[in-house]
Amino acid sequence: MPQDRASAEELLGGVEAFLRKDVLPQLSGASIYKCRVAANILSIVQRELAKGEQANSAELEGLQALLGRQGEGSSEAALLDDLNGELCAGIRSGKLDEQRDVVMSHVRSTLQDKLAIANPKYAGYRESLGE
Amino acid sequence: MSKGAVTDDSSPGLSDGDVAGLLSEEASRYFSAGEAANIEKMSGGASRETWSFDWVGNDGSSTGLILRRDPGNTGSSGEEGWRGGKTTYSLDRTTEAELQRVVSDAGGLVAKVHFALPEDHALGGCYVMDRIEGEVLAPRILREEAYAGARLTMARQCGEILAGLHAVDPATLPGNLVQMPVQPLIAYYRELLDGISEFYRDNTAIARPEYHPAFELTFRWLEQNMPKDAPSGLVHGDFRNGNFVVGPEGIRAVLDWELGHVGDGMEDLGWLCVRAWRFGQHNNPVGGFGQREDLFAGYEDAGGRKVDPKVVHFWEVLGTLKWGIICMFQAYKHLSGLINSFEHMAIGRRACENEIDLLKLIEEA
Repeated sequence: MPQDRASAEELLGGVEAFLRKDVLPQLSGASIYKCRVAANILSIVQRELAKGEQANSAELEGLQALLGRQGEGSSEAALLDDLNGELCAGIRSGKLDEQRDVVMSHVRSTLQDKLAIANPKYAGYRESLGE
Repeated sequence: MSKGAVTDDSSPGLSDGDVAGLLSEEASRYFSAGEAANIEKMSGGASRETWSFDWVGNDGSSTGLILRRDPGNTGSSGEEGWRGGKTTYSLDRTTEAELQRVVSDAGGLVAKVHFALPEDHALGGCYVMDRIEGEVLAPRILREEAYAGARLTMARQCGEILAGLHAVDPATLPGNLVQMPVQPLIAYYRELLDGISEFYRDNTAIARPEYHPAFELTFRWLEQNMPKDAPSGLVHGDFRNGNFVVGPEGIRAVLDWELGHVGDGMEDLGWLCVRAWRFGQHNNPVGGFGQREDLFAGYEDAGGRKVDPKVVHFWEVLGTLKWGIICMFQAYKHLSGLINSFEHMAIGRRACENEIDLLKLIEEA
């Protein structure tokens, strides 16, 4: 059964607005920085709640296509870990050297999804999108 | 992996009053008759503190001074490494002071060191140097009108400063300076990445390793693009905007010598070009203030070896990788209990900024 409104994102949005509009103007010194970081953390978590699930499935699909197997494990997290472990080991050993272009393209798309959550304003992210 | 005691931003041991008292006492041993005045803590952390004070002589003269100290006697000569809560080898205060003296004697732009105290002194390892007036905060240096002229000259000036620094006679350097050519440096960050991932898998409630394919691609690229026959000499190790004292005419002094080591001087040029130091000024790859051509020309004209842009690029890639792994390490420090700081935890989410930049950097080359 779903939780009642407000949703997790809505709750976090409310607290974030409180920090930015009400708390921040009253602070001084090092607390200003900490309060900004706290508000930024709440916006990361909101974006993760909105986009995290889709980013994980896209990453899993990308890994399965790249490595040509489904992965082992009983949860999405376990499958991701299994396949990412193989990807990293393959890059490290040189086994995937020949497939560098497809590997790069998979890694780029995974990172773009990560940055859409962690910091969508980051200049390097915007550049990677061709903006 | 060993865990240190949980610390916060306050310094263990001496109170600020104790430090001021001991500092007055030590300064009066060193300087001629007079007294210490305006003693003020400028910045403090668990591992490093900077204090400002004036020595006012009985003859009316006044000298602006800086005390740099380790509050918790946490300095090391490099053995503890990251397990002790540090991101890399770092010099103890005594060696850092000695290095600054050597650079100063060789004509480098560095504050004159007056005296240093050993780690077993009541003040902890520390030293006192001249206070050079000017701006240190990078965003101000990059944006304020007062530094518009400085910004035009700084890339070239950085090249000149580095050429001088890299030419310091190795025989004059402190004997315990760490040898850090490229391979051990890469191995160091390899170990850091693997160690953090293993820690997350074995010691946290979310018992999962952390994978960074873009870092793996970068390690692979570094292996395949390693510069050959790099000469060895003094490297500053953290030569970037934020460690410069700047006036309207340009750089007045280079600060923070604790990552000084012996290695390939091109490391300093590449590090200066890492995106994190541009503070949003993306059209100026050199520290947010200048162009690579000017940096290289300044270096060569001041007697530095011919710059191979590919080698500098290699070091920019390695520098970006280092910064990305340091982001992971900041989160690790909180998650492992070394410190208690949610701000550090959040920095872990910035590792991916470096990863997306690395993909571009290793694709371009």
